[in-house]
Amino acid sequence: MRYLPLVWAAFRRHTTESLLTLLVLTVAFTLFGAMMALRAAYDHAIEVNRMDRLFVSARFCCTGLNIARRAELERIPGVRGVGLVQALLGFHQEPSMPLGVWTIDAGTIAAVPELRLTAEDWRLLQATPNGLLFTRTMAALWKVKAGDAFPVKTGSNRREDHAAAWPFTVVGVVDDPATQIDWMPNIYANYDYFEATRVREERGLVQFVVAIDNPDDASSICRQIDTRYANSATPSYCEPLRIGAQNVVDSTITMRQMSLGIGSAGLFMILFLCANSVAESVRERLPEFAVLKTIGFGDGQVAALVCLESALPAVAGAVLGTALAAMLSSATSRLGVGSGLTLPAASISGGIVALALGVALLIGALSAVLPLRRLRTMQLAPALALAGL
Amino acid sequence: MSVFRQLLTVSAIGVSTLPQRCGTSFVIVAGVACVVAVLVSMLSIAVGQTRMSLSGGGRDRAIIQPTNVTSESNSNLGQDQIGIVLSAPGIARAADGSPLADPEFQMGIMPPLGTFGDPLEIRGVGPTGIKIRDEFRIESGRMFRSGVQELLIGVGAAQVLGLKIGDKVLMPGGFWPIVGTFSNGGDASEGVFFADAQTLLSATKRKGYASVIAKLASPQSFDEMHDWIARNPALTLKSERVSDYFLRSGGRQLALLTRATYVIGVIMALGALFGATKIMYAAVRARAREIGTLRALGFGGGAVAGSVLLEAILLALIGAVLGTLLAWLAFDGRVVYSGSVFRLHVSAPLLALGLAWGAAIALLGGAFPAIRAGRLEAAKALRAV
Repeated sequence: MRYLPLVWAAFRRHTTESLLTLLVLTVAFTLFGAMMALRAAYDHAIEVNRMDRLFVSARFCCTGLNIARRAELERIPGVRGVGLVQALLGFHQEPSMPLGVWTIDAGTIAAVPELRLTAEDWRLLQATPNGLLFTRTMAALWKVKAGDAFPVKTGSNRREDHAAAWPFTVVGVVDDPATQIDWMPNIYANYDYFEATRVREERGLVQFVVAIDNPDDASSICRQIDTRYANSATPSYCEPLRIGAQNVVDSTITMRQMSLGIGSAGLFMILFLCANSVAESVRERLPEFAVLKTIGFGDGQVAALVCLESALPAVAGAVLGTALAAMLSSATSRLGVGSGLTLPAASISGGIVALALGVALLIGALSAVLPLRRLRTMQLAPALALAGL
Repeated sequence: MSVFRQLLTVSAIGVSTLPQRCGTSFVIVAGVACVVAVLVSMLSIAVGQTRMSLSGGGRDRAIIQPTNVTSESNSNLGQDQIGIVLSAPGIARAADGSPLADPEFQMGIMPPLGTFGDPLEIRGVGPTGIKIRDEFRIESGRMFRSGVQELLIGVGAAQVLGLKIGDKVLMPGGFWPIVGTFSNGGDASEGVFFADAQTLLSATKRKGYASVIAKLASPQSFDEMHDWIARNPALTLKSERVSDYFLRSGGRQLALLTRATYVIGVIMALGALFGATKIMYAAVRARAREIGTLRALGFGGGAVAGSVLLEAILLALIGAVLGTLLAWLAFDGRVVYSGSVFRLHVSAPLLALGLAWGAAIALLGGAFPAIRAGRLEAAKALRAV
């Protein structure tokens, strides 16, 4: 604390330049914080997809697995429950408004409790076979309420009666799932209705969500399932949901891959500025340091003073920058649109703040290295002479 | 001495002292280089993807799909519609009068047993499908045979997936060998497999195609064909140029990425701008004696201010050149996969944008220090030293 007046005096030597340095640091840490928050948001979007949920579909295009396989899957050791799901992909009103409806049955609701669908919700779908259940988020997105007509036009999902659209009606709005699940677009329909109306040759073909007891067994159970059907007419492809989400992120260029590079470039940019500022400040104040040494300041004390001068603006920049990044980060969820992944709003966690502070201290320390070397080898007499002493 | 000559003289003096201030000067160079490198690198993704969409004769070909689909992956086009659409005007004809249009099929195939990954894309094409792709070349190996379960792999896909001739891919009905690699003028199809459409349909037990790809009689004949399809009551189809289809498919994510790039570019530029201002203020302070002397000798404030601004621009341009060079060396031509395979492209307009970005940072960052330098009075400046 006793060095603070000296640090403050050094800051005020060239106030404008010191403020500009602080601004650069703040901007760089804003970028760093926002990039780290964005990266964390992507990681979170992957992690909410569970390892103990397996998605089992036909290995090759344009078909599904026979619904009779459900009973076979349920008998595999380690499997807790099997829910059937079948996608109905199309659009509402305009092709530019694509959506997916997932047709489910009572077994799906039992096997995947994190959907938060209740027996009452299922009764609603049974009472109105062409009914749709929207989660709150999706209802807000599509601006629908119970009773609204919601026709969905599809391409690959054909109806037996050759009609182009499925005449759905919204029967209710349900809670959002416990965690955001990307494989489930959160608009649900009754599988029995879908089954009864789709083209005859596609009936009985579905995909499954398999709930297992132990997430560590996910890969081995998947291999078991795929091996079992490898030589069948319709081989299966089983994938844990989390790995599927990871593949979605890895298979396209997203901000996640670039976030580290961008954040590092920002920090690289300020490293030179900080180092230059400290070096310049020490160079201009050599006589001052010589006086301090003459009146009894040890090398360690002088070093502490320089490190403090170097680290304090960096730390202040890190604090201000991460605060600004926290304000900006709510906009980052928009970056997930179109990536096939629902990206939650990024937030600045304690870990990111700690990381920013750690990086700030490191930058402060690195910036002080060369000036400290100079101070250690400084000849006192010539330096004092510069001060006219 | 004219103002212009004064400006040149003072600038030359300023530049000659740069080696003495190389540490501080390097801060501007490095800062601008970082900003420009990030900006150009990120934009090279959008430029590369757009170039891929527009290359390979995409404007000379049209894709015809059912009106109720958003992409080929969920399309189902029956023979009845295909038969009618082949007679549409505007479609180029072969010497024997047959339409140069090919019903095609696209599907994804999952990775081998016991592994996880994104689906590989395979496209079923007929003999006409090869004919209408003027840029299509077999790069190595041979063409797949009609009716035989064989695959061709695009050069981009081969590079990204690490597959080569002789490798076998698990497909419906067993393992299909890769018998050749192909290029197609750098368009999106270089990132997928090709196989015989009929063989593929038979193996998947599917009846409908995904789309019809038609070669246009001329790029201008698209409207004629488009209107005919739209007006024909027997058809529930839509058509668009292949290039527009590719642009639209990746457009949403591309637009977001481009917007994010500019936001990041502006934030970084703001940092570099503050840094440049700080450094130029320090430079003016360090050169106070020199500036004072020049003013005492009769050099005008405008010339001094201009020289400071020129110095900032010079340093920023060096940084911008370094940044674009770095981005070009690291990313230009790099094959990446993002839904489709394409090459990143650091184009000439992108290089110009990088330089302009650097110059703008210097102009804004150097303005206030330049004004301060121009207002320095000789007596005060000399006394301050």
